[in-house]
Amino acid sequence: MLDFLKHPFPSLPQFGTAVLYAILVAAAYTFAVSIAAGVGRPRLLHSARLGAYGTVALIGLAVLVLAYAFVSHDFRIAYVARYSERAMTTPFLIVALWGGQDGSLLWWLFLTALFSGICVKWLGRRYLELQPYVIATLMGIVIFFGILMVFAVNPFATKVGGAPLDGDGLNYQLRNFYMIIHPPSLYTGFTSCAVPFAFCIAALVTGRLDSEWIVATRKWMLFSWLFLSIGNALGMLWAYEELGWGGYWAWDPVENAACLPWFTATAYVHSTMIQERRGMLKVWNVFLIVMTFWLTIFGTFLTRSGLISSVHSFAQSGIGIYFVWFMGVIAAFSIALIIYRLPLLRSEGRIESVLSRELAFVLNNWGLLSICVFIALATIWPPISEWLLNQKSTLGPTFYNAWVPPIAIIVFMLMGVAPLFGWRKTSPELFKKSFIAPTATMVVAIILHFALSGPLRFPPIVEPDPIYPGLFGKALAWVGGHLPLATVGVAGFNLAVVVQEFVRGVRARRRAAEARNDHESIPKAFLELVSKSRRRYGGYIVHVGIITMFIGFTGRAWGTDKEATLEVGETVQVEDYTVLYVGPRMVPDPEKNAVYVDLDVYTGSTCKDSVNAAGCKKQGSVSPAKYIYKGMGGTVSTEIARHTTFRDDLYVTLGMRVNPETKTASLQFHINPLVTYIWVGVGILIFGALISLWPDVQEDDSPVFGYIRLAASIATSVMFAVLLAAAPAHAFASGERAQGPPPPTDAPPLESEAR
Amino acid sequence: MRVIVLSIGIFAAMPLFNVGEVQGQLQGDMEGWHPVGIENEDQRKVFWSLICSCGCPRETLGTCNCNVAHAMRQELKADLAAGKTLEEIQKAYADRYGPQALAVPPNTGVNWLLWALPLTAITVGAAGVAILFTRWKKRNANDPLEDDDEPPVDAPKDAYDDKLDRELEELDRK
Repeated sequence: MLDFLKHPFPSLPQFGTAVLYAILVAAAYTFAVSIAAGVGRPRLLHSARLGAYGTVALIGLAVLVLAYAFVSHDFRIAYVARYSERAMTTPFLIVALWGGQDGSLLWWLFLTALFSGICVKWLGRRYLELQPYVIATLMGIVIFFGILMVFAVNPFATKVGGAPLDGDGLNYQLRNFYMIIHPPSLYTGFTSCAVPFAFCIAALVTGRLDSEWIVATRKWMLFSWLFLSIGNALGMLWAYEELGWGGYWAWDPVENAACLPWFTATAYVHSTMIQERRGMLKVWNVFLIVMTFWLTIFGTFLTRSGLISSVHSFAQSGIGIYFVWFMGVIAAFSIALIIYRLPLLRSEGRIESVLSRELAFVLNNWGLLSICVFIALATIWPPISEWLLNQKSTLGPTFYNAWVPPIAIIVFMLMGVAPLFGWRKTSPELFKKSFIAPTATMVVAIILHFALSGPLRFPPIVEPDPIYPGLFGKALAWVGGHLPLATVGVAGFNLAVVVQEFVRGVRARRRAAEARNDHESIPKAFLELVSKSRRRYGGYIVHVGIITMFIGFTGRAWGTDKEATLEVGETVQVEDYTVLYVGPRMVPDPEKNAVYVDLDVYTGSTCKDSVNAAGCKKQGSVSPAKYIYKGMGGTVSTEIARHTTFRDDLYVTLGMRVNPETKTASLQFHINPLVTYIWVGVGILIFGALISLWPDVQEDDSPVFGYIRLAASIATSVMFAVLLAAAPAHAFASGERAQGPPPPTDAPPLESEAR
Repeated sequence: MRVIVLSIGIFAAMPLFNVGEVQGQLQGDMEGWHPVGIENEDQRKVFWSLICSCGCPRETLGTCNCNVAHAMRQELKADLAAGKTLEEIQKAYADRYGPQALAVPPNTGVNWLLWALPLTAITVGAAGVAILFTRWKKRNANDPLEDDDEPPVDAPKDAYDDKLDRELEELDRK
């Protein structure tokens, strides 16, 4: 007994496991106290708040213990031994925290706890009736992950055979900048959805279903939406940069699962405005919040259960069944609550005219949910087909690329039309008037597309292969073939709508100023307009981001591929580019041998004859590579290289290892038109979302305190964002340093170094 | 209490998926690297419609560079040269490797449910929107809103947005 008191935890793994048990106990206590506070013992609310902080602190401690285990190379812990090695730098050891199944679930729990803590702090003395149930719901989620940690995926579990001398090391595909920041940002989006869900459940339980909870969750949901967008975009970037197949979205089941909550969250940030303005669609909004949270758990389930073959699958384990139960409980409890509260959720919805923003938003929700339903059903089709129809099936990108874009273009069109409607009713004359400029722009865009299709080689109408034989397949291919033209036209329309909205707003402000005998310059009116109505105009900027992204997506229709096997000094023509094979070089470092192939990229009509001819201009150099890792069983990774212009990306991958004798290199070239517009669009989208999220100065504060508080909240959020993004960036930078600086292009050739 | 009973009822009624039976990852021969080597349009159509049995899940013969894919492509090129059609080749491939070896399930048997189910859901959704609007419109016809009616019930007003809307409306009337 005394021995136990002296050394209660003889080892770090035992201490870590004890902390996990403590988390479970603390969360269960907080849950119970919160419920008690909700059902008539309001004094216990203070205990519940303290309990929540305590639970959050314990979860933070668990993360610290695991981080310490990584840094101190405690290979007694199986997880540490599997995902790290002694040669790894400290920042990468921290990144390894979410490199595997167990740790990433702990990271998930940590982020959920972090948001729970922030939420409890933010709640303060607000929403006192909702608060107990908000805390209880958040603790319910923590309890689920606690159970998972303790009984299924304990990251502190020890190895049966004792500690090895060194660990296995982190998978090379995770040693990529985008992969390092993509999971945390997606997790941030996923886990922060728990807060709006908790408010929704609290509102349903208490019956306080007025707009109070909607207002409370508005910015939380926008925050989740922003990080879901960033996470998905970074996932695209990772696929593009690391997987090396030439594209950014392969309709992988896990990619699909990650974008599903984005659709429901997008629908919610629109439909919530109808409830705020008109008190309508209460059931629908509740459903969307529940669905968004449920889909985040569903996405995790798909990644973890190994149910469907995916590039994202973690080591297969039996934790899928835990998620099935959790999803079942969430669905059953939420549906039961909604049914129970239906009388309170009924709204006296009424509409004066079909030409109203209400209709536009409802249609927009229908469109977004349509895409969501289509992708969801297609994603789970293989297991459904196997279980119910006893027929195995695979759904490749070809299927999705034929079906999803036609549905997406409808939503894209609705996105442009919606702002042309006013609330309640729009007179047909005004409606027609507001249509003139966008329609004219659409026509101009279509004419320009036809006119420029020759020089740019972007034919307005393409001929995709039918995916089915017969008339049905031909009809689907016909629709797909006209999508590039339709997208360009609708993009023109949508852009004109946004510009028109800004112009109208500025004009209205200036007129109002004139009426006050005041004068407002156009830039001032513009800035005032945006800063006073940030949510609306931030939203329009997000629309511009989406338009830009759609233009980028359309580029896929005009992409081409080419393969070539080249001798040193040989050139190959890839569309407009003439590519000269300069030579290979090997750059060894402690971790790997990197074999680079240096290529010079030229353009000009005379390049076909000789790259030295007049009129043939060198545009740059690219060096695709193969990394041959010394550990991990000599794993080989393909490192892509790309030459980017506004028109397209010349995306190059190196095939088999370069022959050291002949130096012959097998190369794959992809011309990916307009891809850059996707990343630019994401940047615009983030900018717009930040404008919408920008906090207001509280009117009841004195101006000085108001601005101080505003500055403090902005500083906090910026710090948070920097911590999220910069810590892994540091890891990447350190990793690069460890590998040595990039060699000069005139480094000795492969042969000499091989000696 | 009613909520708890209702939750248990709904939960009990849910069909539970059997996740114990996990579909195995398509693993195979990853050694070696071979160019895809597409020489004509027919080859492209064939390769892109068939799933490779090694490498990443769901990768087609049109992109997969492994040994197995290389051997398959050589066989299929010979089939094409012998005059076999795309459909014949796909059928033979599916007979040999199972229906999961096709990139798009054939539009036969119950497979049409794959697109018909979501399209039905989308159509039902559209019908729901139409019904919802008819009901809202009818309600308004029976008891019309006055022009100066405030937004109903508890909707918190965004004063600036409302003002802006009014000004925009006035501007458009000019």
